[in-house]
Amino acid sequence: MLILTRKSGEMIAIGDEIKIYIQEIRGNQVKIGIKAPADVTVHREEVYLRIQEENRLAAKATVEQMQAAAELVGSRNA
Amino acid sequence: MTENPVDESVVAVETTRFGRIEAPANKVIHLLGGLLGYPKSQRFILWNHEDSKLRWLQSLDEGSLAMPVTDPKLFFPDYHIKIKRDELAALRVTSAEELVVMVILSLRDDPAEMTANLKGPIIIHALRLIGRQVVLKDAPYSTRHLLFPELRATRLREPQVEL
Repeated sequence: MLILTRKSGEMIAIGDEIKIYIQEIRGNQVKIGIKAPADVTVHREEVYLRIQEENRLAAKATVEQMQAAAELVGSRNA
Repeated sequence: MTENPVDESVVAVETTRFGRIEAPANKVIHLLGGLLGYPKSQRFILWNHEDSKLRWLQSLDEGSLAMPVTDPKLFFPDYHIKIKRDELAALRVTSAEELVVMVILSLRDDPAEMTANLKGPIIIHALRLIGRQVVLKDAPYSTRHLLFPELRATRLREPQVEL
């Protein structure tokens, strides 16, 4: 992992299109601005992990569970 | 009539749940970046479970990857999402009519326990069939919303053991 030291107000460039701006440092909190193209998604890691974890759980669904769920939910035409 | 040996209008995949399936190429949904945690799967098909309101989103790149999905409006009529303009632009969506929203379901052995991930819906351009899973930032939704909260509450009140 590359470790850089930056001061408040300084930036980091990743490739041509991604810029990370250190907006403010106060105590143990850093306020960071991120400029990235629309097709690059940026999330707080904990949010990203929560969605990832839920996707993993959803992917465990079995045909039997689907059958039981479908019976409870009913048909599209009902 | 001679049969075409390689039918390019069909994408075939061996799945773990449904055996070999053939997806018409014009029904293939491309999810940019895949689903979070599964970046290698980008091509999917909606696979019906009979005529249920629930369907499978089956990967065409990994036969073992499929998730139950549904139209959130069927269960959460007040569900309202705000998608950032640049995210819509990446899908070339210009009006709300072009947008299809689906949510992923997590099933459990007791169907009353099934939940919908309202925090990370999938948005798809209805005609281009290009979409992505988005993460809603400032929305009051979580990754686990019960579809039938009343049902579950009732069951929890029932005695576990009859005396």
